[in-house]
Amino acid sequence: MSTELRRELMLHKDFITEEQEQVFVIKEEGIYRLLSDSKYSPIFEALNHGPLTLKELVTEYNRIAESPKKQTSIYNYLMDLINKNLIIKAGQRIISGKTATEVLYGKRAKLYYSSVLTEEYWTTGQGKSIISKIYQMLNIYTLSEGLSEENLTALFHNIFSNFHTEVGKIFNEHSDKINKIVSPLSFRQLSRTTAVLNMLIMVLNSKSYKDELKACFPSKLKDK
Amino acid sequence: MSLGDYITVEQKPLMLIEGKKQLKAYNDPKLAILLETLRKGPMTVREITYEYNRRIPKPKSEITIYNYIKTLEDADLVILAGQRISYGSTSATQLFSRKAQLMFPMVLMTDKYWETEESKELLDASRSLVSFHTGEDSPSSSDLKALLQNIYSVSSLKLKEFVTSYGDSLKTILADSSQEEVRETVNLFSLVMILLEPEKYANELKKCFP
Repeated sequence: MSTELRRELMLHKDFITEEQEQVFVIKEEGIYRLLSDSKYSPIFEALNHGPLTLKELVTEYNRIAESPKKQTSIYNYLMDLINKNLIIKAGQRIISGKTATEVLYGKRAKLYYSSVLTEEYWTTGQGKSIISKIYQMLNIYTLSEGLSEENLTALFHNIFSNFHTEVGKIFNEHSDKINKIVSPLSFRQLSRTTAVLNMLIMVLNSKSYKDELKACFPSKLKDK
Repeated sequence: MSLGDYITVEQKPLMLIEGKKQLKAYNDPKLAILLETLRKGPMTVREITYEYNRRIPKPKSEITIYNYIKTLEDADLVILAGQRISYGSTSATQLFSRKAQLMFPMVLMTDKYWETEESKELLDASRSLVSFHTGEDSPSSSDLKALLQNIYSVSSLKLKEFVTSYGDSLKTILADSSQEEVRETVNLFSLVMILLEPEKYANELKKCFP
């Protein structure tokens, strides 16, 4: 009898002690990038259909990943993700006739959403440095006299606050439907879809940042 | 002891990062560290490994770093720039460098993208999601495609024009930026470009969301 078949015949019961959240909003770019890192992404993909034990995860990981990894490596990746709060110990599996239980690992949330450009972001060193660079580039591009780093910060702050409010509303009100739509998407596709959704929300809500845009580019938008 | 570096291929001042393969390599966090390491100029694999390991908590072997270099070379982001000749040694060591001093990622989706199978999946997901926002029926796939194609393609062409015309100024502005900062700067700059020309996509917008 093969090991796999023997395993299937063994009776087991899963006890889920920590339920998945619907949406987890990630506010750090570095942490969001872990989702697309080739050594971590197969873990998220493998856990898309529910919690798994380490052994099951290793099998799934090596089916999905481009290059196979040892159990020790995958365990270390898993611990990295638990430390970053992206993966959780979801519960335990009890196997009939065995005293030792197996830990079940799961995704913290059904959906991870990046919301890096928050209100605080624009006050950080990186936020200010980026504003200064965009300001210099827009100066060359538009030659606008109204442009200042302060005006530009107000514009971005407004646009992104609007994104967060609107996207937050959509996720809270339609989380199950959204999950069905986005769960088959790869990380890259999900990032693109989020970018497109943000873009559409931006062009559909132009009134909400009209004043800030005009303050930055008074002559360019005179008649608009 | 090194006798000198023999550089046979010079770095370009600026290059646009386009296409799936190039963008994938550029956006890979472990390869991004290597590209940032090479900002110092042409280096041997041993030097790259030393500098790379100074930037990360767990050191990587020379073989791993060499594989990363090969992936980047395959994506045309890193080049074999020349050779280092050492005193008393008859064999020369290979020197690798970034293909260009400034790498500018084209973050906006181009015309080509909208013809791919992948874009159909994106359009379907976006149609449903935006209808949750508007509370109305989803726009048709072809109308939404026309709108997005218009928004992204027009800006993508303008961005390309801008980058090629003002490459020197951009090199100065972005000289001390990390790859992550360059990407974010280009993203936000592109958003403003789109906002500045609403008339370019007004008709398509109205058709999608009457």
